[in-house]
Amino acid sequence: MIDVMIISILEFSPILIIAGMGQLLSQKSGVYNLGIEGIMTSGAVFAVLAFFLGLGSWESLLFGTFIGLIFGALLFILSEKFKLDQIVIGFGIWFLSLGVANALFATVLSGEGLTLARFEPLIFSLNPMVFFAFALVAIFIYIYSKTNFGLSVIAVGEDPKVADTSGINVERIRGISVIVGSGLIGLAGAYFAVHVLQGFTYVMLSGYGWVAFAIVLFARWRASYVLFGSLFFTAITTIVTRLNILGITLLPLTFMGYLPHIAVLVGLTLTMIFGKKSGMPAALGTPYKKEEK
Amino acid sequence: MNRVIKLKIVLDKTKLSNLLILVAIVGILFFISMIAIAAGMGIDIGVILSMFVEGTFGSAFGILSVLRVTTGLVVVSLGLAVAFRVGVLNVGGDGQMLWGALATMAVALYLDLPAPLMVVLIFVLSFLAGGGWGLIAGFLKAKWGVHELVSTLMLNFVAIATMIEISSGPWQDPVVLIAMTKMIPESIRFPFISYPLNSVFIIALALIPVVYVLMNKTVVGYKIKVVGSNINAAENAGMNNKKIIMLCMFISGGICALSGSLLVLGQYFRAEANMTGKFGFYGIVAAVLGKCRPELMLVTSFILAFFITGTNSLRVLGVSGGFVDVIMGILFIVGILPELLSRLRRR
Repeated sequence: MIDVMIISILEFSPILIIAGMGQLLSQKSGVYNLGIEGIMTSGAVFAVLAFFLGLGSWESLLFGTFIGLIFGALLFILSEKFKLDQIVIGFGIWFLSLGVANALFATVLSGEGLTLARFEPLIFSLNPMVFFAFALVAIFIYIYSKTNFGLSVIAVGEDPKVADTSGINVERIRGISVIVGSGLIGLAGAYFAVHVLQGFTYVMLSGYGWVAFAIVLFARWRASYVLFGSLFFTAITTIVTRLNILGITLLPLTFMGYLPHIAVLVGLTLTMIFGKKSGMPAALGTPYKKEEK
Repeated sequence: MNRVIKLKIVLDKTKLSNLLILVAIVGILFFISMIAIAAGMGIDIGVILSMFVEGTFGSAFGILSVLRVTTGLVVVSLGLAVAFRVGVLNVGGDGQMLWGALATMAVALYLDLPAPLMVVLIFVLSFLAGGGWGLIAGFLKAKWGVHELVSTLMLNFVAIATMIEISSGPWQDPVVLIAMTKMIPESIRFPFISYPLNSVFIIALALIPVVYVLMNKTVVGYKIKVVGSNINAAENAGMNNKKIIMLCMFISGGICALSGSLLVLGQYFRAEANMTGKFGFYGIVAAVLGKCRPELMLVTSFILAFFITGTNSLRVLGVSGGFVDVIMGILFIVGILPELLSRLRRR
């Protein structure tokens, strides 16, 4: 019973971990990715589409990632090249990607009755993506503390002007961070569709992208905390589902379904009250304008 | 301590001609995507276009439908604009609308007073209910700096869950088997001007000058503008930023809730969880494109309503409702095109 639950928590956790990491990468360099919910949905739908076209599970994940990269590039070009408001652009991409996903799903895929192949378990009946997600966190911690690139990202996120005068190419650092981050978000959506849900439904993502967004704030912009936060909220979801199956309901059923969302809000509030140090990148949300010197 | 993310809404002199260029560009993009859909689904493009025109401006019914959608949308965007002006990203319009609808249903189902009194009571209570719901997010932000994007969105889910529970529980209509509340009594239903346009449209129009005066002619509106444009300057000038932020979220939630209650009184005559039709999100588009100026938001809401109604009328052919979101995304990105062009010219 307990081991089944732990496995199920670990199998679900890559969704929030990978999406959270994508968002973290973007925000560390100073750019909000408010398209997260829509990009995840697009990633999911395109993964299903790839499967529909006869590709395997891995290729489907790549397809989802690719869509994430495209939306990331759009976000980067509009917000950093043209210095438009990140939040407005983010909302625009949110609607656009959500709409593309839903329209594509309804026109091409609905009623196809697809059954997607899950990934084969690697060890401990866990699939490779779980290990990938954990490795990703380790890589991120390494990048941010040890490598030149990671320090440049932090410098750009804190103060692009200083970073620029010390010879860092601000636009390039932000470009890589935003586009790769968005790709990871697409990957998270694709994993959700391919492995966890084995398909796509309109309600599936109901706010999961935003939960990942909240986890980054909750984690005070630290990679290791994103991991813990994701595991914590995945655990809540899994336990709630398990309790529902066993017929134990603490709250009315509809509220149980939204418990992770409520937990995120409560968790974020508690961190804001009791958390001491905020790691928020100081330049978050502001495009860097070179000519304003 | 509170770092406020500023949604920079440029309060420049946006001319109507710019909006018309916008409509033209979106129209062209829309036409291209229509051709793509037609090709993808194997339907004659002529059929799609004629359906679209028929559903919007081609018939009296179409025009009235567009105005009906405008009713709800313009009120939501007015509400959201109040929060956007102060730099708070209220994306909880849907949840606040649902609380407005719940308050309306509570009065309609449990009280039996003369109709005019009932209606006044409904508006007051739904304003308070939605305002209170918005105030939760406003309080969390002002007191501890909880990001309003997260709090308002998550509170949306709580509001949806509440509505599902209530509309499938105590207030459920015994006639239908799905989660819907009972109908409101005939006496407080607003009359139709001409079906499907209800007289609540006039109330929506009347709210525009009210919000205009609030924003531009009152002390509160002035404070909102100052806090929104430079929070540090406002603090130096002795303004209580936290109070202003909380007040804004209260007013914003209240106006959004009025939209929910107008939908109950003039369109559905009952409440259900998906009655808001994502207006809380489309309202963001209307408010941002209209630069948060009430008079412009009427125009942008009307344009949005045109696309929403038109796309919905294509559902008969099997065109997805998700297509509305594509249009919204395109509108959003094209909407900032004038700014983009001016940036390019400056280079």
